[in-house]
Amino acid sequence: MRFLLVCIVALLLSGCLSQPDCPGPASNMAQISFKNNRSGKAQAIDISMLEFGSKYFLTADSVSSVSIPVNPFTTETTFIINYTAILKSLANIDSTVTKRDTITVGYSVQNIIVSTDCGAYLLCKDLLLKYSSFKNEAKLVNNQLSTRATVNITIKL
Amino acid sequence: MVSGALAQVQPEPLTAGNANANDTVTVERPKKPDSLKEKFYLRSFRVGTDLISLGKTVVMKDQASNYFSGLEVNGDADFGKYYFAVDVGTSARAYDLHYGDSGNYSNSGNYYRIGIDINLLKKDPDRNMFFFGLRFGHASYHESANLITVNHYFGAVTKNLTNNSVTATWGELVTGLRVKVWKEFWMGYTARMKFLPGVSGDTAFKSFDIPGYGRNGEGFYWGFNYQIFWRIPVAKQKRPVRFSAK
Repeated sequence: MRFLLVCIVALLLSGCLSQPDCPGPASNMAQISFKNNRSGKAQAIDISMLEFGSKYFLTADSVSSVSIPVNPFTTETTFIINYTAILKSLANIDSTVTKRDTITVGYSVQNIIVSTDCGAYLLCKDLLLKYSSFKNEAKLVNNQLSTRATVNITIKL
Repeated sequence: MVSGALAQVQPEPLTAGNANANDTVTVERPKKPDSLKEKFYLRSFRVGTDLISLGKTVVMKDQASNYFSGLEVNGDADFGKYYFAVDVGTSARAYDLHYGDSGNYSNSGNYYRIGIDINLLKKDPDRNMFFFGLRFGHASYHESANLITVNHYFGAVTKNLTNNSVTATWGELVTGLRVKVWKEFWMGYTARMKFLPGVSGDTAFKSFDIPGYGRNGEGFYWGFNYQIFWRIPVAKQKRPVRFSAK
């Protein structure tokens, strides 16, 4: 009986430990991963300019994946990627490709009040791939946006 | 009491003195006297209110950034070991989010809880209670929020959102005390562990604060009431018969 009482009191007190964490500023990030169309391995590209909404980011980094924020005030965001990639042909000859491609994603937005201390937050979820101008396959692999390094869309170059 | 003592002295079947070893005489364990059992019948009602809700209403009714107004009526029916409990309340809240930087929130509605308590103090002559119980809670309310949302990349947007007709249900595990203070006047407290909130009708934004429950979220939510009661006897209490040695 005493053990039962201790268990019940411990269970009751556990309610005090339920203070939520504030979400970070970049919780609504879509991660796009680039793969080689022939080998299926990660494909590095040099992104010269990245556009989303009316925002422009200039970069000279060589990356095989990129995280881009979706606009939480709408239910659709278009990403425009200006990039250069060195691709291997069937004859194993390198060819340099410079392109400008577009990808459009859709999602639903939920208004959430996290806590009185954290305030309000817009949660984007249920990601959809609406359009892709990439020549090869673009595929949605995970429809949940997050800050974690989780790939949402894979694009084969 | 005498027959109870006999039962303890002779817990095993008796063997008759002049009978064979294989012949046994079985003596049945006598039943306990009825006077020690808690019979199931309605003894009294208790009607009371939560002093914490009243206190918060007095202190917070003029605070625009942290407003509260509420009243909760508590009642139970004494059926011996078991008590049927009902709570009915009304509540209105309004407060700033993140010191006003994220807007503000308000709600207003009614709620009730019904359930059963089990009194663990079996032999208390005044019928004081130390109890555990279960509750089912239900609330119907409306809520509105003026939300200022800031995004690092896309700027800030202000939205006025309203959930007009929201209903919520939940469960509670409760424990507490009820103590007779004077005649039919009682005081006590109830600690509540609230769980499994289920909300419907929150179409504009996820319901944030449920009247009678608290913050809508995963996990448990803690509640506490300090209550006063007035007891209304229905049937005269049957006290255990006491024997005195002469």
